Amino acid sequence: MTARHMMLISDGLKISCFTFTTTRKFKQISANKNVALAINNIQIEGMATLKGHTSDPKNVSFLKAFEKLQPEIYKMYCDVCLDPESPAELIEIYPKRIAIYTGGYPDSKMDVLNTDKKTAIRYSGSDFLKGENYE
Amino acid sequence: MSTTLSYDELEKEIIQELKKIRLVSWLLQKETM
Repeated sequence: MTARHMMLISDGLKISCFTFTTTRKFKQISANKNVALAINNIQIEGMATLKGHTSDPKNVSFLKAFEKLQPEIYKMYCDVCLDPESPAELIEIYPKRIAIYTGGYPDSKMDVLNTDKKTAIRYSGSDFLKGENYE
Repeated sequence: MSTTLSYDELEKEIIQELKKIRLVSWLLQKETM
């Protein structure tokens, strides 16, 4: 298991990013599509899908969102993302479980959304000490 | 104690939180460049 910072773009619950096919990150995700994100107080577990080259016409909506939402980073990477000879690959992540942790003990709570089971559950108070298996 | 929440309401809340990611990720990117 390894971790690194990523530039992420969300569309609803879907999260998109790109990387180069030459990286360890890409090779690891290719071999195991179960991924996890930690963003501030949000924990996400999901499934990654490799969507092909960033310049592929089917991925144009990603580039448009990238340019709109992250213009400074887009300026740095647009040449490589638009060059079909570059190793830039789009990755989409569909969350299966999203947990938001708020508060501090003893008032802490964790809201958990399970997109497979279509459940939303809040765990609070002494649940955190019981070692229960959270959904 | 566990409480069942509205799936749609929690989904909406999470989507709003995810929209903030781009600001955080940009800051992180700057710190690591």
